[in-house]
Amino acid sequence: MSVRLNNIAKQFGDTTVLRDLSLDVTKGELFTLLGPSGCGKTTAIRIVGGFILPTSGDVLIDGKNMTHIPPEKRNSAMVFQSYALFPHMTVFENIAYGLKVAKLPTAEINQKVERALTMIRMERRKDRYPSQLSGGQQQRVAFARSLVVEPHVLLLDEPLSNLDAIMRIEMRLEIKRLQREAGITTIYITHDQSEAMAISDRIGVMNEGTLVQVGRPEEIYLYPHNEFVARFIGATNLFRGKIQMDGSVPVLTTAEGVVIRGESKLTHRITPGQEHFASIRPEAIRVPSGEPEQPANLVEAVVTDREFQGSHLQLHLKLAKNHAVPLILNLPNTLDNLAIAAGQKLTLNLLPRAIHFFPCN
Amino acid sequence: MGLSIFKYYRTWFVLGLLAFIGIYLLYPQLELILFSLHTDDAFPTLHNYFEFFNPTRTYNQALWHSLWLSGTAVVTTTCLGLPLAFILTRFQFTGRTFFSTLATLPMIMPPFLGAYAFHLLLGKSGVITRIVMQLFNLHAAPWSIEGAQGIILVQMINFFPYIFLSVRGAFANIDPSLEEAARDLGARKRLVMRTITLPMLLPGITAGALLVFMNSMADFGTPYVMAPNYPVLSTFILQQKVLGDYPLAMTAAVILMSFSLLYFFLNRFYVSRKHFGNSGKGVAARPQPMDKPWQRWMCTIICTITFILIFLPTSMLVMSSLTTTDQWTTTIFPTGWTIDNYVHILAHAYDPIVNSFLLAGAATIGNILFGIVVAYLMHRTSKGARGLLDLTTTLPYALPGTVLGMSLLITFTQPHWFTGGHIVAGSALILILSYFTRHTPFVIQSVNANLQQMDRHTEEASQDLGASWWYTFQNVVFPLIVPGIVTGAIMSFVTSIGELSSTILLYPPSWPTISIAIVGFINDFDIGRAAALGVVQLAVVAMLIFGVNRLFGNAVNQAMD
Repeated sequence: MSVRLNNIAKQFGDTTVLRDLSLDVTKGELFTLLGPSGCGKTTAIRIVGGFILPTSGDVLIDGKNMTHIPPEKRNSAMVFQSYALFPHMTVFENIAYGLKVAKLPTAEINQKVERALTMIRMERRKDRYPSQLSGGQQQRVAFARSLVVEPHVLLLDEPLSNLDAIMRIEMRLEIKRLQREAGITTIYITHDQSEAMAISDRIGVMNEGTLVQVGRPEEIYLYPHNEFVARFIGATNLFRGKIQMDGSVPVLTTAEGVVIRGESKLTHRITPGQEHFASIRPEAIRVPSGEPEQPANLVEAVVTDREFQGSHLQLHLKLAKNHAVPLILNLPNTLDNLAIAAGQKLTLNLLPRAIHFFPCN
Repeated sequence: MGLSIFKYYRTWFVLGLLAFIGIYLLYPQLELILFSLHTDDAFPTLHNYFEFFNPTRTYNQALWHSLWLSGTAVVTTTCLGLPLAFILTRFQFTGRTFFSTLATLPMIMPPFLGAYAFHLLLGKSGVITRIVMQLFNLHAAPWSIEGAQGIILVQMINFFPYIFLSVRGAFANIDPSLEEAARDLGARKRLVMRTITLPMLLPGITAGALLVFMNSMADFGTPYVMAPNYPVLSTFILQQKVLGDYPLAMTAAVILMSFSLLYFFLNRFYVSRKHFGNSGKGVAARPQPMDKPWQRWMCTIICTITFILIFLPTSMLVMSSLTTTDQWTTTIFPTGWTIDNYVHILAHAYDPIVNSFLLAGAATIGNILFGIVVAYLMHRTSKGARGLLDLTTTLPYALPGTVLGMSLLITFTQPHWFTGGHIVAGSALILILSYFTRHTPFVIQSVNANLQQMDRHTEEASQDLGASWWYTFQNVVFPLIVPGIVTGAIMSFVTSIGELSSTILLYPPSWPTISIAIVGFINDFDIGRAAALGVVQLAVVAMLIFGVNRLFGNAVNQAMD
C-alpha cells in the first residue's frame, strides 16, 4: 500500500516543526527519513501513525485520506524507539495483543503468534516477560507485534538506536529480511546515515522540517543536491568557487586559486560565473606514485595527521597554497601509504570523474 | 592506606551500630511483646489476648473499629486521590502546579489539628453547622460529626496525598508510547485504559492503599479529637493506660504492632518488588489540553472539592486564632478580631514551644549523626550488612506512635545497664528517644540517595591522589551529602514537632510540648489559644518544609519513597 504526504505542516505553539513536507512511498518500499535530531522526522512518522494531527496538509494511505482517522483505525503499525513492550504481559501476550483487540478466534490468534515467534526465532522465549529479554530480543518482539496484525504500513521510529554497534548491524539485516518477506510498505526513521544507506530502497533527507533531497542511497551519496546533504551523508571535501564551462567540461576556481576540473556529466544546467561547490569524497582522491590516473586537478598538500582505521588509512591534510583549506582522504593499506608521516608534502590527484558540482544557495 | 584502616574498623563499626539499634530501637518492642504474655502469676500465657477478645466484653470493638475505619479510608482516599492524580498528570490547565502542591499540603498538617479544624467547622456549634441551622431555622445541629463519620472525613483529607503521590508516580513511570502502541494495534481509548494503563497503575495504587490503611490504623490524633466515645486501637491503648490496666493496653499495642509489622514486610517483600521498571527513554507523558466538555467538568469538580477540603480547615484555624470565645458565642462569624491569643502564647505561655524545639532539636541532632554513620556504612559495606542495617532502622519507623510509646514506657520504667542504672521514663530523655527512634530513616534515606548518585570511584579517585580516608570524607563525601542531611533533618524535625501519639503517653508533666498544650487548650474549650498555637505549629512546619524545598527540591515527595 502506498503512503502519500501532501504539503504537511506542523506547528507546536510558535515553533514550526514541519513545513510543506510532501512525499510518496510506493508499495512494498522501504523508505527512510534521514536527518539530524530535531529535523522533524519523528513528528512526520507520528503524523503518518495518527498520533499527531498535522496543522495543515493530508495523509493518504492507499489513496484514502486518513488525516483525521485515529491510530486505532489506521492500518499502520509502529515500532517505537523504546519498543513500548507491555511490561505486564509475556512475549506471547504482547504479540497477541493486536489480534485479541481485533477479536480474532483464539485458534487463529495462537496460530498467527506461533508463526510470528518462528519468524523472529523466539519460540522458546514466548513465556518470558520483556524485562527478561535482551535489547535485541525486545526489538524483535516489538517488530513481531507490529507485523502480526498485517498492517498496510509499517512505521519504524529509530528502532536500532538502543542497541550496541554489533547488534545494530545484525538487526538491520534482520529487519530488511523481515520487511522483504512480508513485502510491506515501510517508513523508517533514523539519524544514522550509514544505517540509512544500508537498509533503504530510497532515502529522504530532512533538515529543518522539510525534505531536502529524495533518492536511492547511491544517488544521495554520489550526487548531493546541496551543502547540507553533502556534509550530512558521509565525509566529504568541499571546494567553493566560481564555475565556468571549458567546452563541455565544468571548471571551478576557488578564491585561493585552486582549479578543479570535472567531467561532462552534470546533474543540472549551469550559468557560468555562478557560485558552486565541488564535492569529492575522501576515497576518490589518489596519491599518484608515477603517472597520475587522470592528469588533472593535481594539488599540493601537507599531512597534518594520520589515522590508521583498520580497513584503510585516513589522512588529514592542509592545502600547501592555503592552510585554511582542510582535506581528508582515505587510502588503501599499502606499505607505501602506511609509510606516510605527518608533515609530509604530497601531490594529490582529485579524480575529475569523481567530482560532483552543485550550486551554493 | 587510609582505606585499609577504614576497612579494618568497618566490621566492628557495623557490629557496634547493630548492637545499638538492637538495644535501643528493637529491644523495647520485645519487652512489650513479653509483657503482653504476662499475668500476675503466669508466663507465658495468652490470658490477656483471651481477655481482649472475650465476646462478653467490649474491648475487641476497638480492633473492629480500627479495621473498618482503615478499610473505609482506603476507599475514600482512593476516590479522591486517584482522579486527582489522573487529571493532574494527564491534562494541561491553569493552576495545575498549584493543585499539585496543594494536594500534598495535608501531609504537613498534624492529624489532630485537622480534626480540630473540622470540629470547628462542622461540630455541634461549628460555623457551617450554624449557617445551616440559621438557613433552615433549626434548633439543633442537623448532624453530628462526633464518631466514625468524623474520623472518616478527616482521614480522607489527611491521607489522600499518599494515594495521590504514589499514583502520580506510577503515571509518570508509564512510557507514553505503551498507550500509543496499544492504540496503534487497534485498541480504543477505553480498552487501552483497561488493558494497559490500569494494570500499570495497579502496583502504585496498591502501595498507596496499603500506606493509607496503615496510617489510618496508626492514627491517634484524629480519633482522639473526633470521637472520644468511639474507641479504636490507638485511643483504646491510651484509655487503658490512663485507667491503669497495663496488660490490656500492652496487648492492644501488640495487636496494633502486628498489623504494622504485617504491612512492613508485605510492603518490603511484595509491593516494592512489583513495580514495573521504566523501559526506554523514560519520557513522562506530556499533559494534554482538555478538549472535551466532560474533561473540563470533571477537572473543575475534583479541583474544587480538593481546594475546599484543604483550604477550609486551615482558614478556619486562622480565623479562630484571631478571636476570643466571648466575641464569638451566638453569631456565625466572630464580632471582633484580636491578636491576644498570639500575644498570650508567645509572650506568656511559650514553654511548650521552647520544649518542642529543644526535644525535636535534640532528637534531630541524634538522627543526623546516626543517619550519616549508618548511611555511609550502608554505602560501603557488604550487601548482607546493608540489608540488615536498612531493615533494623526502618522497622521502628513502621510502628505506630502509640505502640512505640507503650514499648518505651514499659522498658524504661525499669533501670537497665544500658541506661546506666537510671529510670529514663519520666524524664525528657524518653521523648527524645521516642522522636529519635521514630524518625531515624529520614536522614539515612536522604543521605543514602545522595551517596547512590555519587560515582563509586569518586572516593577512590580522591585517595588515589593521596588523600586520607578522613580527608576524603570531609572534602569529597560530606559536601555531596549536605542536601540529604538537611532534607532528612528537616523532615525529622517537623515530624517531631507535630508528634502527639507517643508524646501523650510519655511526656513528663514538666515537659509539655506544643501538641500537648494544644490538646490542653482544646480540653479547656479555649478555642482561640488552641487555634493560635496550632497556627504557630503549622507555620513553623510549613516554613521549614518550603525552605528546604526551595533549596533541594521536593522534600515531602522524597520522604514518601
